[in-house]
Amino acid sequence: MLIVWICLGVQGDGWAVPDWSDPILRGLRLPRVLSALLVGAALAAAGAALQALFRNPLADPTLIGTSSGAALAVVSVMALGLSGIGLPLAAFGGGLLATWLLLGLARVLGGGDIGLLLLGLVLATFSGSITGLLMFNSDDMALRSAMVWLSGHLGTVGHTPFALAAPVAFVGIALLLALGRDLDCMLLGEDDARALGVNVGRVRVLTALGAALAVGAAVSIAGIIAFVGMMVPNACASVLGGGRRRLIAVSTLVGAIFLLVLDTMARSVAYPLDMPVGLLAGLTGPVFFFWLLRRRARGAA
Amino acid sequence: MTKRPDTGSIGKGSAPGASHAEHATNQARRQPATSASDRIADPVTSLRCIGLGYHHRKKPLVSDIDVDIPAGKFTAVIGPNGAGKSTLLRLLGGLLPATQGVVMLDDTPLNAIPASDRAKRVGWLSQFPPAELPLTVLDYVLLGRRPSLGSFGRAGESDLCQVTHALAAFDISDMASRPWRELSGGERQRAALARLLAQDAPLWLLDEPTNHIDLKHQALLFRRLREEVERGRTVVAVLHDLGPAAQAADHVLLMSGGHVIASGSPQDALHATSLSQAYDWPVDVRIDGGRWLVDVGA
Repeated sequence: MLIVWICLGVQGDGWAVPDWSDPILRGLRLPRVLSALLVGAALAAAGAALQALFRNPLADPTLIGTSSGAALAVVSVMALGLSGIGLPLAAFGGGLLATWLLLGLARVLGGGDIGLLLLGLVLATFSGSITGLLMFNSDDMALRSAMVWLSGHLGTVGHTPFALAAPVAFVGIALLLALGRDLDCMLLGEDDARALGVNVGRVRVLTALGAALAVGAAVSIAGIIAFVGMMVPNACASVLGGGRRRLIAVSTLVGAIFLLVLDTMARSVAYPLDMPVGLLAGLTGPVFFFWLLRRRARGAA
Repeated sequence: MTKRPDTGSIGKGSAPGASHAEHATNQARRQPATSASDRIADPVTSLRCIGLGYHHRKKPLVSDIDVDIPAGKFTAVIGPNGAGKSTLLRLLGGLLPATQGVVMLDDTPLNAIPASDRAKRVGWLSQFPPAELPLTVLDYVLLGRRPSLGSFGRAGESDLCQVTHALAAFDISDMASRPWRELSGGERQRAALARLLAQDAPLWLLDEPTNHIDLKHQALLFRRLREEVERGRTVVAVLHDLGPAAQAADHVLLMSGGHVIASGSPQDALHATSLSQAYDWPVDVRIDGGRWLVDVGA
């Protein structure tokens, strides 16, 4: 709460006690802060669940194509001239399709941990290219401005996108939390999960569904923000231990705060330049990624 | 039954009475018996394969299996690599859907039992415990309680009690709070066995439970399995070493090329002819002073 309050007070020229009568605070900064919290929470929760589903701590909604699928769907829908609740729902649909496609491909092609990430990356790049093509071919200024949104920008959100996306994200996170213990069992391997009474097929479908809801909501607000879904759960897991449900819950909270702090930095560090928070996340992510990879390589040795 | 020492009576007396100082040194000795006194609830009454087969992409992995696996006994499944031992075990556990025939558990077709109920009846130990797992040993063993807790139930006093007991039974109490990553292969295997014990199903299916385990813990494992059988548990284990398998089991299934080629007591089913046929290699066995000796001419 304190952090939220502090971040609300951060403005271009320093910090001031949040003044509720200020229209800039209420109309611009508040939805931005709320959106950052929501997007961070959704991405981290989805990451924590997807890592268990794919049995791969490197899984991240961006790296496995969920985010790009969602983004592609949003841009397509925008090109058709739709908006409103259609955006988060389209994002959800696109994310779900991409995640299911990857699940299917991984089962058919195999390839292990890194193979999965490569498949995801191919999927992400492919849908990214289609997205780019759609935007390139469009004269619509709105669609051109989507470029900024796509790179993970929270500067333009208002109350409405947040209000539309929030319920979608909450349903997704709740679903993932409900799957917590079954996801623990999935980590043991398919046979073991079955032997413990888990309906493996159903857990797969539902986890992809929950993650797509959460990621779809996040993407519809803020475009593609990479690495948050990988960094937060792994950092939490290295401290926490314990079951997946608790990890998802804690990741949700930590992810919300993490992205809020990151976005507050993004909008204040280079003031008056308002950086997309996705860029900052993209800068910090790789360092973390290599640390994880190295730890894994050591564990295997 | 008489060929084995009764380990139950040693531990029963010392477990509650052991002083704290003795605790550590006695641990190995008292474990096998921590709960040998009581019989398990609701044991399996029958386990039967009828015309059982599994084909993968038209290639038969196992076929025409018609055997009765004796309830309340220790059955060893042995045979060469690729004989279909693990496949048979997975069919028995309902982890693979049979493509031919049926497994009858307590006279009910296995595939007619809902997964959540099946998990209360059938416990499974996989051949390869996972290498990477973001869980502590305690959390891992606690997952064994999932069949009775469901997806949402909170682990209560009795669940934790069972987990503690299971950890002690496989000599890993002191590792409870360690992350999985830090465990050696044998320790992981013992943790997996502890999870199986915590699950407390009346039928145990074990795929090479002695993998990676050192001599002492192998001996303890066989002792523990014997005890569980005395308590009424039905144990089916795929085993690689002929000697210990013949020594510990009441019943053996000898498999080769996807078929069960001999089924019966070790004395009846294991002889030079059947073994040499199964392994396609001259194997001789004899019993010397109550111990099985295996000669493969190496």
